[in-house]
Amino acid sequence: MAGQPGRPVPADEEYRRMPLVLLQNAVPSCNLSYLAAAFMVSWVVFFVYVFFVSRKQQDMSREITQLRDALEQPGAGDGD
Amino acid sequence: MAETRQTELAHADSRESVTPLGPVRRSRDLRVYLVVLGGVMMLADLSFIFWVAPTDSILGDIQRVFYFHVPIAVMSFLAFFVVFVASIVYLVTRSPAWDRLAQASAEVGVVFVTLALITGVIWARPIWGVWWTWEPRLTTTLILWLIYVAYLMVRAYAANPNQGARYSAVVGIVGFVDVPIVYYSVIWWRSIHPSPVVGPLAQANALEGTMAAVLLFSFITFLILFVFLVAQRMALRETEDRLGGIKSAMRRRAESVF
Repeated sequence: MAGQPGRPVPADEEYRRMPLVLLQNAVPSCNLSYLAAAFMVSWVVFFVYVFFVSRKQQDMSREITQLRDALEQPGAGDGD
Repeated sequence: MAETRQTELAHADSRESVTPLGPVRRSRDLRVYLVVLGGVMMLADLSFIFWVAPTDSILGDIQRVFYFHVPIAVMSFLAFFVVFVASIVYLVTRSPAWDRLAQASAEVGVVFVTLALITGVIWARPIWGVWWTWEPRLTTTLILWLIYVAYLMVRAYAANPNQGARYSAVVGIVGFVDVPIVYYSVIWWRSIHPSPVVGPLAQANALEGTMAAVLLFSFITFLILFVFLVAQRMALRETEDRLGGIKSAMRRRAESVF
């Protein structure tokens, strides 16, 4: 039995026994999910921020137009 | 009566003054042009990152996060530098244009530093084996995030806009002290964060030629994105001011009538 006292463990057997997490770290291509997550998060955050700012801008511009229209109607705001 | 109304609206609406990024902020076409250019460059940047930049021999593919993480972090430093300068000029001149620039840049800076933290955390998990560790670079960056979130909160919760602008300008100036601390943290204290590849601490030939070229392209891309975001946010703040002006003009009119 490999690993018994007094008997050396062959190198390939030692490699096979490596915990899976260490093996994942040793093989660079296994980190692609982290890479995809980093890029995805960056894009989503930028899009959400631009969407939020643009939408608020549109809402406010619409409100300004409505206020102008309301004020420009004859008799509006004259109090009589 | 209608003429008076028009004059009031025009007065409430005429808050134009000379501002940094003025042409970009005022011209919607220019902002559209910037966002299209930024989008095309971002797609090109992604293709360079995945197909042109060589794979790091030690870290593997996860190292490619670096082409987003570093420019995003540097843009956050740039944003807070703009806040620092604009806040000083605002306190001296009391020109609302500089306050708008400071506010826009602070908000965009918070977005960038948030992303720098998130992309850093995602990189750290496979490389360091932990999502987060209280090492100097990460800790000082988190403090930077907290400072500028506080900046936005001071502005939001101030009793009136002028007070908010003054107090937040002070926070923006004092808070900038943390930016050089973040940058130098990797040499001032024992840190496991990789050494800087840009700025005064960067070593010559720290990056392989193709990697350096792709990183430079990423910097230009994110700079365009930064200018667009700040201009867009300034335009929003201007619309907010205009709406506020019109509403107060209407309130004054209503008070004078009744």
